[in-house]
Amino acid sequence: MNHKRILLKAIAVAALALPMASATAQGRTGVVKIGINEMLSGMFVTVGVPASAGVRLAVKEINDKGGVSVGGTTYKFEITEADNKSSTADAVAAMNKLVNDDKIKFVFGPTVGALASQSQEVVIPAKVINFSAATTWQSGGMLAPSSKATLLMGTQMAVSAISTIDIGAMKEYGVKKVAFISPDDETTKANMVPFETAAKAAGIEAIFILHPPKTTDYSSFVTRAGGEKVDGIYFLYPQANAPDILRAIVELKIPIKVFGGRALDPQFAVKTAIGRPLPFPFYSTLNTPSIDYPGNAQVKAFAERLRAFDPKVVGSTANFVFFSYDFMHMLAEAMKIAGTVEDTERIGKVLTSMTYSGVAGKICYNNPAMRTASLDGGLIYVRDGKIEGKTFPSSCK
Amino acid sequence: MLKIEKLQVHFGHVHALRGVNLEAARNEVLVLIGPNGAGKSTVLNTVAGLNTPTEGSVHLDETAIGGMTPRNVVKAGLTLVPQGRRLFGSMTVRENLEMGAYTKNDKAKIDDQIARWSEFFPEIGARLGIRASYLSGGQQQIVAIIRGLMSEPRTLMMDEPSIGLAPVVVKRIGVEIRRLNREAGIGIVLVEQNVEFALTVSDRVAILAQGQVVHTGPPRDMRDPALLAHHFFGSTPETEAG
Amino acid sequence: MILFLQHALNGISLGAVYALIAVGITLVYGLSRIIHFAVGELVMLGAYVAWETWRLTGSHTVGLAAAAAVLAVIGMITERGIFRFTLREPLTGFIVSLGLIMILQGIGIEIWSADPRRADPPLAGSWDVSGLIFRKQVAINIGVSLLVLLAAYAVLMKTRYGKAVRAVADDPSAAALMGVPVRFIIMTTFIVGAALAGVGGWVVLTNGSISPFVGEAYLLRGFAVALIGGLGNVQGAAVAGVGMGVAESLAAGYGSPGWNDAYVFGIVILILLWRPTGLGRGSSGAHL
Repeated sequence: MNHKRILLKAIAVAALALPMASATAQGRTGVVKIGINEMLSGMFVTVGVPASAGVRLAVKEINDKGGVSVGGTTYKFEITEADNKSSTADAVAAMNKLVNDDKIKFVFGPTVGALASQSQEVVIPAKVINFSAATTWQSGGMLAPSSKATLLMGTQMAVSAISTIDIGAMKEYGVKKVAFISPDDETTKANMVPFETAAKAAGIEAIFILHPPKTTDYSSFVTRAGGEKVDGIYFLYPQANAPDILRAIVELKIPIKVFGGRALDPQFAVKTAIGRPLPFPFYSTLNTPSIDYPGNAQVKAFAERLRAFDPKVVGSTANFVFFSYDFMHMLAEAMKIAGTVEDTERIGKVLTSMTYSGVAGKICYNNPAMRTASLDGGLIYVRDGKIEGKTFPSSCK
Repeated sequence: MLKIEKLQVHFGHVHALRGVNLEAARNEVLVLIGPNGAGKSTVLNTVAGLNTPTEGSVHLDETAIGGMTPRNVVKAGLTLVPQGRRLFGSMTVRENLEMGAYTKNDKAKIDDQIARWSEFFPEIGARLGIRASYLSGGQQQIVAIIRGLMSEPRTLMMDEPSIGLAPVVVKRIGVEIRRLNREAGIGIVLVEQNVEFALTVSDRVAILAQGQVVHTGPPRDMRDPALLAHHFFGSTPETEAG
Repeated sequence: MILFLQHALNGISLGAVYALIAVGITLVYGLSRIIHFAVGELVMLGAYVAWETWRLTGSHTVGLAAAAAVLAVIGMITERGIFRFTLREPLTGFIVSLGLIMILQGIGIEIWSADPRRADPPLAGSWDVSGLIFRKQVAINIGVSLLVLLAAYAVLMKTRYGKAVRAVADDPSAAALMGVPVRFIIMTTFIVGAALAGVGGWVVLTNGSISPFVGEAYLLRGFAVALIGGLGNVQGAAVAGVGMGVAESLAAGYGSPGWNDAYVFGIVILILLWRPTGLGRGSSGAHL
């Protein structure tokens, strides 16, 4: 009598188990390796930490949702992270290990141009997709249509796009003539042309007042701007000197409608040398949305998620997280669309033709002059001592 | 008054003074003559403290002053009026004289001294407020001498006080030097190239050649051609004349 | 017209700072013939001492006193420890001062990092005098500079010590023969020169941000001003300083941007070619 019961139980269990077994046999799983080569220590640690966090948070989110399904297989991502210690030699060595030893096909970073322009030598022959915000890729022609490095993906918006944001803010305040005040050097020269182009397109006259690089007394230059009767002043860099030029403008009573700058700390406009907030509006442009002063609910929610995920991402470079976060998600999407996790050339083609809707708005590679992304920019306004953030929508459709 | 014994001075490898022995009394005017490069100025400069002796000693009235700083030498009562006048060109005549009295503190006394010298040399008195570089050579020399006297020395050394001056001025300076010695009791040691001047002003001469004193004697010794030729290497215009 | 006056006024304010720094240079170089190139770094240290003191006490007055005092001590240490051994070889002194630049700048970066620092200015804001704007800062620049220059002039011309300094500058051997303690006088000028650099540093701090590299610009201009004014000539330094400031301001206001330094130093070169000892009457320098 007992034998019969056991047999029935065994058949019942087998009957239940069989369908599950066949289901598992049908759904295959896999792992795709992602490499991070960033400055997690050394001089550029404030750049590397947020950029790395962007990849890690995106991967966690993808994996938590079950991974990405590509051609019948569900893949999860596995990160190999390397600290290049802000050194060029270490960045090249790390890239060698990731690409040639670990055979990783998708790498993020280094974000710093000096390092990326060397490490790129490793990724190009290996046909690895390499994301980075490095400005040397833009200025060095690596992202030009004619370049052979077709799998380098720039994640920082082109200078021309930032200039559009700059001029857009100027136009908002009705500026007709703007003085662009900056040190006389290469960085400035690279930014002058797109600024002038954007200004012309908006019907604003731009004059350029370049000063000797080590200036800290802006009296003469600001007086000159006043003499030219400008109604807006734009300050490119060095960011740390912004309070000095602001003091000169205020004390010399230059009558401007607005003061704008690149990636300036809005506190400069709240706590000023004269002890009061500025008597004119102030704005600061960012090449991504701002984490500290989110311009919309989506970015605000993301900022909270980010802080919970990695409390180390703080400070004025926290927004560098956008140089990688949405791009990791975009990469996963591109793999899905391309139907492969191996064929990097196919994935690359998809990346450059798709539009991805991320936290940083609509992201796409629509710049005909170079393979660098368009994404939302950030604008931080300070009016009467009150700080307000806004996003500037990307040009993707 | 002044006793120099076995004095040696080196400038790097140059052995400028090779054992100088010289004595000067307070009641005489001693003139040091010799060919160029003999080391006459070096002797004065070393006594005054501008150079440090490598060997030997200098005594001023029993006090050892060899190796002292110039400041302490002046305070000990010996002042040098250097070659070439060396007035402070950017200062007035009065300021120059005041500098001469730098080691003294009694302002009233200093002003008094200047007043007395101004009476004595009226053309200097008339130019007290003028920049020293605007005075004529002769006037500058007189100022230089007065400047030296402002420190109230008991012994005064002068390096070529007659150089570049007109004969009538030279004569006058000679008279003043003898007066300082006879009437004010200041011991005088001079270095001179001008033999005529040395003859009129000195009580005794010392010949310095190749870093040593080779002869001392009365002034008339300078009129002895053989003696001079012996000690001066090659004739000089002065010896031919004398 | 008012624009031109504004530029000129900016220039006078700028030049006053150059004159202040040049006074210390002209005295030290005029006397000892040592090209004390580290004077720019002394200004930098003065600025940081003033900044740290202000941070600790909240007072700029204490900061000024501290900057002068600390730099005076540094001046004495460098003179006793280093420069007095180089008096017979001014070239050695020059090379030593170059080394000092590296050391002092390195110390600056080590202690305070390369990031700019800033203090709340003691006088912010400006006065509007019928269209011509006087930044209140100008009062500090011109006021402090004028005070220092007048004090230096008074000391040099009227005091016994000042006369001794002038005598040593004219002819150190002759001065020694008068009983002037020449080495001591030179030491005191180093100390005073350093203290003046400290005061200059304080003024630089009140003008804006400071970094360990702030000394370089003032070094070049300070020396140019001292040379043009005639070494050892305080009035010359004052006039040349203001002149340079105005020239620089006008170049910035009207010339091609970025060419300012070229214009200013071009003028300096031309003047020195024409009058190598400077426009004013300078001293021949001390040789010991």
